[in-house]
Parts: sequence; structure tokens; C-alpha cells
Amino acid sequence: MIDGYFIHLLILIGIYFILAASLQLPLGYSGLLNFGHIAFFGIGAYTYAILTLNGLPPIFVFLVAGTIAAIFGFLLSIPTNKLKGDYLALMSLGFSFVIYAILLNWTELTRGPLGLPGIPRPIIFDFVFSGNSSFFILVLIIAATSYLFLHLLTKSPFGKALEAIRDDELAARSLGKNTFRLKSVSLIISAFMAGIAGSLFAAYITFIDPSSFTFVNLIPILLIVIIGGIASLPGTFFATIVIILLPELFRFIGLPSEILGPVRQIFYALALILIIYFKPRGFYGKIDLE
Amino acid sequence: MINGLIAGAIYALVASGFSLIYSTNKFVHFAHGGVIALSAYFFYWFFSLLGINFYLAVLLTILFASLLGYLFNRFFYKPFRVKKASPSILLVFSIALLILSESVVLLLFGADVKTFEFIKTNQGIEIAGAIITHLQLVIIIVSIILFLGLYFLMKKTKIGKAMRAVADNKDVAEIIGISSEKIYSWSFIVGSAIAGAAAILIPLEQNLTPTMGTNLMIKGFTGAIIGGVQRARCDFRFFFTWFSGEFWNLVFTVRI
Repeated sequence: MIDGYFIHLLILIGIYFILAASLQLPLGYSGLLNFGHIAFFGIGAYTYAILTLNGLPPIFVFLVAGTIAAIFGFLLSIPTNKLKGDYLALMSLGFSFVIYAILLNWTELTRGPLGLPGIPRPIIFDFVFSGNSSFFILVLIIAATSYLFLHLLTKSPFGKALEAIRDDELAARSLGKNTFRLKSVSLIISAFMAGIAGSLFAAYITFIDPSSFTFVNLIPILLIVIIGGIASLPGTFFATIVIILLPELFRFIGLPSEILGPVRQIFYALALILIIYFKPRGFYGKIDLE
Repeated sequence: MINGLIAGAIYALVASGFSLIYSTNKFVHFAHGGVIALSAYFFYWFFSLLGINFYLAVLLTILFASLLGYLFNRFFYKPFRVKKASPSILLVFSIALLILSESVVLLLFGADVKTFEFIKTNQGIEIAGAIITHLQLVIIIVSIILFLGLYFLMKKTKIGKAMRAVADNKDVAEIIGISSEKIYSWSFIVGSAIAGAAAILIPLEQNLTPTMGTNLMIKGFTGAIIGGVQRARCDFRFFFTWFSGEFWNLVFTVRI
């Protein structure tokens, strides 16, 4: 029993790591306060769910889900190009509200609040990832690949250009960098990865409904990015572990289940407040959250 | 259609309190929704659970709301301002406060929807072919009174002019001797008091849920932006806010 629970936590850590690391790219490296990130997660999850429930092969659908999320990432980058700081945050927040409203109300496609049950697990060469242990291996591979990919990306000239945009966009433009294109690609990649994370999420839980994709669900992700530190992948990794595991301790204190949910929310909100006040750099961050 | 007008009036109330705070303080005070949620449940607690006299409960709720807004500013936002935090940080922070408020409500009161039964809503009087209940009439009248009150406050009183001064140009206002910290506090007090009024009217007309704060902020914020929040010009702004709020609600109700 402990074993199964442990694997469950590891899978969640893996999925949330991919989601948080994908937020690091626009937020930490490009300076884009993308508060709509959870929408990409939701788009990926719903795309995976709808397509696999209609019989398409899951591994192929992973990529499709990522791509569709990436398209939305591109769409978001267009109006937000000229916006800065909190205006960008608000616009992306509004975007996530719109996506949530669509997921909730376009019932012909998403069954609205009823959700989509019975989502199939992925299949590679006739091997079904139905057991949690095997699913964990899948998550582990994808998470490790994501980490490696982001690491290489951020060390590359592309990554350096993004950081230049974060630090001083005007200076970057005066040096001839096409900031719109760079920011756009950053959001596209970020959305793609979030879409993959969403597909993994949908495949793991095998049931999704719109309530997992409200902006309240973004708070723990934001917390991970900030606590881990801006523009720090190892920080994101450690922070994911901490943020996923700590609330699980509440289970063992013996709190009744009705208050477990709000207690977890309070934990996240308080943690966010404290970290912003005392350590806005996070634990491994290079710069402060601007 | 009348329901759209009522809902619009409520969102306009939320929006005007919020935009007062936003234009003066120059950051998005998302926790305004938290103030409303906490005050609404406070009212519920005092009136429905403790059985306190209605008018007394109203008064206490509005005081509670103002106090809450003031405390949010004093103990939460002010330390950040001293550290020269950017509006983005304050935005993240106010979102965290909103989540905190709603979780506290959830913890203390549970997730189910609560309703009031104070003024009967199943009988109404007929005006111009539409049925409007007494409560809805009260809401409209209260809203109009509050809007007019806010208008006069901003236009004619010293405090109001000082608030507009700080909203327009904080540094120059300080040069001529206006204490911007005091004005920030006042903007929170007044803005949250209006929120308190909304927090009373909403549960009477609709119901109470722990997430009401978030929903109100989404629509109220939109209404405030459409009405125009950059400057604390209040002449027709609040009427714009009202109309935009009403318009959007017409859109919502017609669609559903």
C-alpha cells in the first residue's frame, strides 16, 4: 500500500515538474508573467482525452495535444507582445478564464462539468501502461527528457537572448533581436510541454473535468517556480518535490477530509505570501521576481 | 432583463470600490473579492446564525469590510510597498490573499451554497410591464445612492480631491503636503466599505458560495476596466461601469 502511494506521489512530482519547468521558460527566462499557463495544461489534457476516447493512438495523440497547446501558446503571444509586467499577467489570466469557460460550457465537445471518464492509458507497441509503476517509468522518461531539453535550450544562444529580453527588452531590440519572435517561440515551447504534461495527467487519472484547470490550480505551479528560483531548473526540481510532498503530511496529522482541501489551499497561499516577502529570489534563483 | 440590471448594479458596485483602490494605489487589488467574500459570510454569520438585528448586522458588516480592507493594506501591502515591490508582485500577492480568504471561508463555513430568507422575493410590483421585487428595488436605490455618494466624495470633499491627486501624480501630491500613505489607507477604507455594501446585497439577492469572490472580481474587474480606471475621474465613469456591467450581464443571461 505504501508502495502504491509512493509511486503515485512520484508520478505527480514528474507531471508537475514538467508543468513547472515549462513555466520557467517564459516566466523565468523570458520575463513573461504568463499566468494563463494552466490553460495550456487543460488544453493538452482535454485534447488527449477527446482524441483517445475517439480511438486515436495515444502516443500520437500526445504529440497532437502538445501541438494544439503550442498553437494556443502562439495565439497568446500575439496580443501580449506589447504588454509588460502586470498587464501581461492580467491578459494571460483572462486567457485562462476564457479557456476554462470554454471547457466548462462547450458541452458537446467536453461534456462540461460532467468531465471525461475512462481515458485510456498510452500504448507503445502493444504494451499498455496500465500499471502505475510502468506509467511512472513513462513519466520519468518524459520528465528527464524535458529537463535535458530545457537545460540545453537555456544554455544555447536562444536561451541567452531570452534572458536578455527578460533583463532589458529595449536593449535586446536595439541589438537587433526580434523580440516578438523570441517571446513567441518561448511561449510556444512552454505551451507544448504543458500540453504534454496535461496529456500525462489525463492519462494517469483517466478522468478529467474543468475544475482541475482553474487559475487556482496555477498557484502551486507558480509557487514551485518562485520557491525553486527564477531561471533555475535544479531549483524547480527540488521545489516540485517539496510542494507536492509537504501537503501530504497533512494527511498524516489526522485532519478530517473535508478540511484537507482548504488547508492545502491555505498552505499554498501562505507559502506564496511568505516566499515573496522573505525570499523573492527563491532558493536557487538568479534574480528577483520582477 | 431586470435581473441583468440588478446583477449589473452589483458588479458596478464591486467595480467602483475596486477602481477607487486601483486608481489610487496603482496595482490590482484582487483581494477585493476576498474582502467581499469574508464580509458576506460575516453578515451571514451575524444575521442568520447569531440572529442579530438586520440593520445592526448591516452596519457591522460594512465596518468589518472597511476594517478588513484597511488591515489588508496596513499589514500586507504596506510592507511590500516599503520594499519597493513592483505592481506585478503586488498582483501575485493579492491573488494569494484572495485564495487565502476563500480558503478560510471554506474552512469555517463549508462548501455548500447558503441562502437568506429576509425579504420575500416571490412577490413583486409591476413597473412598465416587468416584475420587479422589493429587494431588487432596494438594490437599485442603494446602488444609486452609493454612486452619488462616491461622486460627491471624490468631487467635493477634501479627501476625495486628495485621492484624485495621489491617483494622478503621487510625487507632486506629496510635494504639496498630501500624505500618500494616509490616502492609501483611506482609499482602502472607502473602497472596502462599498465592497461591504455589495457583500450584503449579493447574498440577499443571490446566494453565498466560497468562490463568490473570484467570480465577482473577474466580472467586476472587467467592468472597472471598461469604465476606465486610469484616472480617478469619477464623473461618468461609474455610470459607464454600471452600464458596462449591466450590458455584460444582459449578454450572459441572454446567452444562457
